[in-house]
Amino acid sequence: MSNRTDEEQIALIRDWWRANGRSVIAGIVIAVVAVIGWQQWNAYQERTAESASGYYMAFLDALRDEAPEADLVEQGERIISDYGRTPYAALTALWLAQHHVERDELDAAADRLRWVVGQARSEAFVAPARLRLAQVLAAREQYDEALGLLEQAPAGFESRYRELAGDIQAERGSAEAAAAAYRQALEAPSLDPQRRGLIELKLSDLGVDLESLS
Amino acid sequence: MLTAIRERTQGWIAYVVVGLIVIVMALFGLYSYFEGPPPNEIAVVNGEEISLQQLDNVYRQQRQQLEQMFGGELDPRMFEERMLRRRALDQLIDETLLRQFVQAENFRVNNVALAAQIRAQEIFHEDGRFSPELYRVLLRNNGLTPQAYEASMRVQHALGQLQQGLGGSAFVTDWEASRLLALQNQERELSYLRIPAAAFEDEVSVSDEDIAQYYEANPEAFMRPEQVRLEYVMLDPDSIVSQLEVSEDELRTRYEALKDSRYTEDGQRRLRHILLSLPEDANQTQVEEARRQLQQWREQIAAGEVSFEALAEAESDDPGSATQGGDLGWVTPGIMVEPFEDAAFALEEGELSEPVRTDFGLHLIQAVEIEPAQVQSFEGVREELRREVAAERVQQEIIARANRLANLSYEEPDTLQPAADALGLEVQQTDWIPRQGGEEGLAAEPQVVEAAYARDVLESGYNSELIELDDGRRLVVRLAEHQPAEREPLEEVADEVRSRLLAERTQQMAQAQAEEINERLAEGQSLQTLVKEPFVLEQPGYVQRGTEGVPVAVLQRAFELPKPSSETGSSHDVVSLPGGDVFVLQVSDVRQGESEDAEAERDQILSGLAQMQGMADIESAVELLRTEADIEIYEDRL
Repeated sequence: MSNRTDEEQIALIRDWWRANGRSVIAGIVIAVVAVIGWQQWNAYQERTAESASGYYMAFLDALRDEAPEADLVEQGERIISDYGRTPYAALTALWLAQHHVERDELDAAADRLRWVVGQARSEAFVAPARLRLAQVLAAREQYDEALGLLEQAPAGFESRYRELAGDIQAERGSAEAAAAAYRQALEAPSLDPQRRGLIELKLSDLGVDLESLS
Repeated sequence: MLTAIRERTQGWIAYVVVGLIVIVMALFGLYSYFEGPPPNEIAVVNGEEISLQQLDNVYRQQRQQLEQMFGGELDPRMFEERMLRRRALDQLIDETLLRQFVQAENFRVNNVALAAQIRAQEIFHEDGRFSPELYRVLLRNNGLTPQAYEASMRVQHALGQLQQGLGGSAFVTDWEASRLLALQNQERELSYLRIPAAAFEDEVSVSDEDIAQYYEANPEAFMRPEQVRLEYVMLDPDSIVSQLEVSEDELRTRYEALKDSRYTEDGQRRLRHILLSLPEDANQTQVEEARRQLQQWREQIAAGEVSFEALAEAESDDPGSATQGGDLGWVTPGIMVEPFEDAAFALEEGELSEPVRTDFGLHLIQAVEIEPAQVQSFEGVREELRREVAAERVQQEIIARANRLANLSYEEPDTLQPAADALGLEVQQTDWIPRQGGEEGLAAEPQVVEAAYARDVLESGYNSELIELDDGRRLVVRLAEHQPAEREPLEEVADEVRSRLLAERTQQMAQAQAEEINERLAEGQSLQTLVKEPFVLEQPGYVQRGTEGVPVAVLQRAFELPKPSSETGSSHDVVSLPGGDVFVLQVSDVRQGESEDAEAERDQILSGLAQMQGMADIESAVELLRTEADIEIYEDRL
């Protein structure tokens, strides 16, 4: 097999190229297009995120300067609808929810929070949004639904979820269930002392001995 | 040509090359398994490494902050290094997680916002405006390129957006606020009976057997902690300063060098003058004419024909002094222009100068009063100079002496005397020092305590190594006396046991009384009907959580009791204080309290609570990221 001449080898290569040249070129073209496409997609993502960030900062300014209600909501909704895949949509929805709560528009606030719970990609946004949704539902006295949201607490949020569940149970007059929830809330490993004091205060008001906690 | 290559590759060379590659790969591949993680790594967070240097930096920063907070050195007993380092590492991990999160979530800052933010930083401002030059210089001095700095600012900005967004958007609903306010302002109607334990002193007795029995039954009580007394030889920079000899010559030289600047107090003189002003380019004739005029006045004044003051007032061209009769007040050297000063300070008291030319014109000057310069004598400042020279040398001197002390006490580890003798020092003794250290003197120096209880000193009885205290004193210690932890003998503590038992028994009696009353209350009787001598009934009425004048334990318990209701009646309980008094308390009603400034208080509580929840949301989110992350920590390198 090693006794072919150079001419024979070159002819072999030529034949191979005739048979496979098209596919090789097609392959290279596809690869180049894919790389360029990927880069373009990334650049597009980046541009989108950058303009979302810009709109978000403008929205925060409007919020701080107490811009007219309609403008504010419109600005916020544009971020949520046009930039739903960026983190700024979730943050905007959280801010709008706060804004609605301050204006006592609990239904609107609940809608914003539901959007975050349903749409946000990251659990780091969903977990606090769910908690806040439960706060709003409690304020609307929809206790069962609120408690349902609080049942499964994401990691790190156990203490917060249990505390609110305790509040709702206490409001309903179920002292036992409330006490159990507060006790669980106190179990968090690194509880802020101020929060600990507050939960203990709520617990003691139920007429439950703190000493029996340990 | 191609055939040639092909033939070769099938020959031995190919085998050698392939063999080498296999060996190299095998070696390095396996090597990295043996080696474990790179030596500089302390943790890996989702594949991103945290280096030991990063940890050291954060640790040092946090330590400095703590030191500032506690004013100086940290007590190693309170702040264990390992714990502090662990805290620094936790912070680094959290920061890394947040950074990774904002990158993965695609938080972005556009160039305009970034530029605005950098421009707003005051550190880059010159005359109140952003200076590109200063920006570049500052970055270069800190070893940063603008690209690197801007990239880190982007991350900072993104982190800011996340934390502000997540934390700032937290809220408190009216429902929550009302519940919390109701809780905080709650009022409870309280009455309580104080049963003083002392009232039962006559009814109990404590016998010697009781005391002995108690002493036997509580073997761990009355322990005297382990303590040591130390001998020590100490080098004190202050005393070395007072001993150090400095040669007379040296003192003299220093005195001469400092005489004019430090030890001479300038004299001062009260001057007055008459000025005939001349233009700077005045010609010879003008100057001569003025000079003649002044000369004439000088003679008239000297002859007493006219007074200096009157003449100055009438003729002087110096508007400031003319009205004062030419008076310039007290003048020290270095204030007036040179030719004026030279002439003025050459005058005797009362003497008149020749006319003096300055840029202002021609002056006639008189020294009205003279206070001569004061020079402190060498003898007067000798000790000061000696201390000064000695203080400059003491550092060197004390290091030399400390070396001798360390060497001598090491060479003869069983005694301090030779070292003390050689250095002209006394062997001194400390008071008792317990293992956990004391409040004052050497017992309060952690290094001394540590050395005292080190095995070489405590068990082997050797001299310690040289200890250097924060104030510069240096010492070597050795054990003088060791007293292990032991129980104090019964005789010494009998009185204490007696009073303990007495307190215990009287309180027991008070407690029994209280329990009895408590049971009556359960039967529905009221506290008022159960008062009898020497119990004291207190009826503060409705109290709040912060009400003063009620014992704290009673107040706290009052707010922990179940709320009274028509079925269960009042709530009541017994509380005993360590001091000996026992209380029976009764809560008969709970009501919603009124706060004086309800609206303002409500707002304050609302915003405070929302802030707290926002912070908690951020912390919780970080914890959530932690549980989702792949974190490896090399604990042994901490």
